[in-house]
Amino acid sequence: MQEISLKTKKKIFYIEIIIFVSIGFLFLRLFYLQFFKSAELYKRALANQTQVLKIQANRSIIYDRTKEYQLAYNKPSIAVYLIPAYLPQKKNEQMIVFSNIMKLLDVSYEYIQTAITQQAIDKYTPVILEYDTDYKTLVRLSEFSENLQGLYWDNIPKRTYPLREKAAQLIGYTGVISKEELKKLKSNPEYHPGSILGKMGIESYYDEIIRGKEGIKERIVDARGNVKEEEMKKEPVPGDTLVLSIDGKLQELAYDLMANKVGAVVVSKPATGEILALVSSPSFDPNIFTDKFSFSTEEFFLIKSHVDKPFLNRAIQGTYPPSSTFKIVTSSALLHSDIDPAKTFYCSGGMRIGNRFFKCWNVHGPVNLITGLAHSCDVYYYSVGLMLGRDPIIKYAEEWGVNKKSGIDLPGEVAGLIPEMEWFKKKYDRPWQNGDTANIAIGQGDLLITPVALNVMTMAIANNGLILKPFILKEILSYENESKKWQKNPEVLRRIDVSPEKMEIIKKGLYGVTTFGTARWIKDVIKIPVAGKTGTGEAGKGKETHALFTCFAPYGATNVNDIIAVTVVVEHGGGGSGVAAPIAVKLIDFYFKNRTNN
Amino acid sequence: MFKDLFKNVEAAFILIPLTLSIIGMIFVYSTGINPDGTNSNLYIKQLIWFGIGLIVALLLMAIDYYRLVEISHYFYIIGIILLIITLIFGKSIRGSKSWLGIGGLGIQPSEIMKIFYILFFAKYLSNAEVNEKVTKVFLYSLGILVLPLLLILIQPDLGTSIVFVVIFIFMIYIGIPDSKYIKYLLMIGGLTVFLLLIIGFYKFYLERGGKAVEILDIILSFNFFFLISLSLFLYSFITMFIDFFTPTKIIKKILPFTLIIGTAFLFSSAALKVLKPYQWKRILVMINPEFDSKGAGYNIIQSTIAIGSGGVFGKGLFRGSQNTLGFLPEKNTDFIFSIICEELGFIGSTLILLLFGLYFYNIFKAIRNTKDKEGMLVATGILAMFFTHFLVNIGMTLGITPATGLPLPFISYGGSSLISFMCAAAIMSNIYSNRFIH
Repeated sequence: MQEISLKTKKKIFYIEIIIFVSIGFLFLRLFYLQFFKSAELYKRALANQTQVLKIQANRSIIYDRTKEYQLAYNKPSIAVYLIPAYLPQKKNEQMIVFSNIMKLLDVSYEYIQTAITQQAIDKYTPVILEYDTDYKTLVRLSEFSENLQGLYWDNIPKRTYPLREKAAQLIGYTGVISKEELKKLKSNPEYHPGSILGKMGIESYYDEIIRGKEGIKERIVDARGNVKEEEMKKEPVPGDTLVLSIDGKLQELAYDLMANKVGAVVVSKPATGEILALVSSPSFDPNIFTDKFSFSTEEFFLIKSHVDKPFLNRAIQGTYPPSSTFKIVTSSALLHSDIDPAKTFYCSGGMRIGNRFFKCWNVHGPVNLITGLAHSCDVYYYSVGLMLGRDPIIKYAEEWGVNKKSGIDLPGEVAGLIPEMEWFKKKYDRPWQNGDTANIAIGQGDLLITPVALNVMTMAIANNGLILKPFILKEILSYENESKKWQKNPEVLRRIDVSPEKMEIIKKGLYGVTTFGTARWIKDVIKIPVAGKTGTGEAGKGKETHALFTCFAPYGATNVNDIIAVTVVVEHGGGGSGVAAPIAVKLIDFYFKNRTNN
Repeated sequence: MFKDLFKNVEAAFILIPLTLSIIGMIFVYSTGINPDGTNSNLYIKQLIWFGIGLIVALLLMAIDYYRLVEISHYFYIIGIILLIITLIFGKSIRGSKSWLGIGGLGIQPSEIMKIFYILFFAKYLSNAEVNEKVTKVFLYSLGILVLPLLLILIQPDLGTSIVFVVIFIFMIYIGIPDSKYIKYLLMIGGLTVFLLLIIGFYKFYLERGGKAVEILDIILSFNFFFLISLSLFLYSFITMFIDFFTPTKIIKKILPFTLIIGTAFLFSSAALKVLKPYQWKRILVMINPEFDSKGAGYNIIQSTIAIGSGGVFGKGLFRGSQNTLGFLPEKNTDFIFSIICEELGFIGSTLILLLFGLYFYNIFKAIRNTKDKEGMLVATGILAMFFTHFLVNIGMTLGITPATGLPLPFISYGGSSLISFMCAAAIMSNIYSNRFIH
């Protein structure tokens, strides 16, 4: 038995202090973390386990004007996809799965890899390998399912375009958002990396309506990424149904008539400005770009790099010399001046202006406005042009909208061209001469116009000078019950300064074209009176000319509602009468034979 | 007999370990919950270990601890043999060869060795002539420590070796009257840690993409450290030699310090040579866990998130997301405290601290009231062991001590450690109940 010495007691006390001070430190740290840092760390715990997924809504159904013909819809389709996170972790096991996929779906290893890199935003994003998988393949997939860890198949709607290449540039197609698009749309929360959006045509122009509203799905995941719970926080709202002014059948026929040709067709109703058909040829089948891998496929690059540029919507993006169709503009300038439309000029096959000889395409003898228009006599318009001078012609060209964008609801429309004085001097480095005036009076010499602008001009004639904005989207229907939510009202842009009586003279001349003029064969093939103008545009030395024909029918209709305007442009097609006009006539014939009340 | 057994027992020595063990089993169950809702069922094993521990503890309470101390040299020898066998036949788990498989069971001899070491060291110190031959006692004490310490360091099990060193320091501090050697020892330790931290900070700076500083590259290298320690030792021996023939006062005063600095540099150079990159990372992570948030820092970040997200009242038992969704690795051993904090909040974590604090308080009471030196030393050793485990484990979950992987006494899953801790608790209560006898 011994008493503990005082010194030892002191030592014990020191140890005691160390221990309880340490406990105090731990306590303070706990207090700090669990009181002051609690909210912040709770958020981090939540972030650890929650994944927020954006669920894209079904895109709108797009109808033609009859509301029966679907131009775009979402077809139920069995798609085969893989989820990278659920592939086997070991490299060699992963290779076995890949080689099985390659065998069963008949795809290459590179194809799978590109699909993964292009589609996977994170490792939980389904990477679609194939749409429309057939029943046979599915049976085989199920047989092999043990060796296909990470591969799944499910019903994933596929955007489908029944008109295929016949309305490709008009309806457009969809694809994954690009970096540039993302930059442009960054203020809109509906767009983010990986979003699918319309890439062309209506799909692109009305994308915000078509795409609907995204849903939000929240997932609880464990540390290894396995999904424990899933909850739809916000249901996606499908895009409202769109009704276009397009007549599906007319569109199809228009494309069929243009097949193997290069060019564009625009058919419209002058009463409202609505477009009935809008075709650009050559075209492509948008169905091959199934949403997600639009930019990976060889087809895409083949189409994109094709010499005839199938992605170009020639109806709104192609510019052509208006050629003789421009004589309508010169005529309107003449009607506004004090020159008598009945005054005749003598065509002997050409005339001298300055020190150059300007040819006519034929010898017409005495011609006035109506016969000049009908026969497309160049000498008449040279003479009239010289009398009018440059400025009135340019002024009327502007009024008719030759160099204006029509304002049609399609992306990427371009404007035509009028040789402005400054532009002219810069290009040619010489003053404007009489010969230049004569040239533009017959629609040559730097003038350019798009098919849609030419069609707008034609509508304006039928409307006695009223210029309407052409449009394609006619109505928006609720996606739930197809009740009408919105309707397009015709929009008048401006009025051309030509009185209705004088416009009647132009109409008469245009009617002359199809009865005794350049396309007089028309009266023999169709009963409906057609008023139109042919054009044969120079396409450069040694190249076949562009064939143009623009018209409206029936001529002399009492109700403007009955009239349609048709514009046809065939690149390097030859003569307007021989190549472009027959297409227009067939369309008019078809329209009036099959036309319904609207 | 059992009536006798509990006669002088302070309830705290039994109730606190029992309470902690029960909390432990609840949380071994909780941390056993897999993300898919199943349970690893480790709690059943823990329950069996607890049962075995209870039997052994009752036996230990029935024998006078004095008898245990008397035969402790056998324990010590058995322990050393077990450690050697472990090194030869042991299983590697988590990179350290510390497991000995017997049939289907595995035991960790290093856990049991702690108790054997405490008993034997207490026996040695209480019989040694501590007042007459301090230097000799100190050197012998070092020998008794170094043997198991080396065997454990080779495994390598850094955490357990730290426990041995702390036990040694506490016991020798109380055990020998002149604490000059303790001072030296602490100086060596402090200087070594300081040098390692300097190296650590430089490595941290480099890892963060800092530009290498040529002079630091030379100074903070094994060769340089080793050279310094070598020259200091050389100097010490020469002066010792001189002092032996012509005793000089100034040499006597300086000598301990050159030896201390030399030893610290020797240890640091050894650390530079021995420590693996992942061990350096663990030290660096203490400076800032986010620095290696996917690797060594991941555990600490996830642990901090678990603790803090529990808030004041916790997320509810078995309902911690960090726990059940598996964001925290080693959650049933190293990080079980984090899960307690997540599920029971500040209330729960304070309760654990309070129970341990109360237990330590009672141990101090025992140390003060024990009349014999053996009891006092054993109690000090046990205190050192519990305290080191407690501080290092909880400190690690809070991100303030390095991640060395020491179990939290009574609570962490593990048979060897639970049984050892229960034995220690039994001996502790035994010492207290026999305080009037010796």
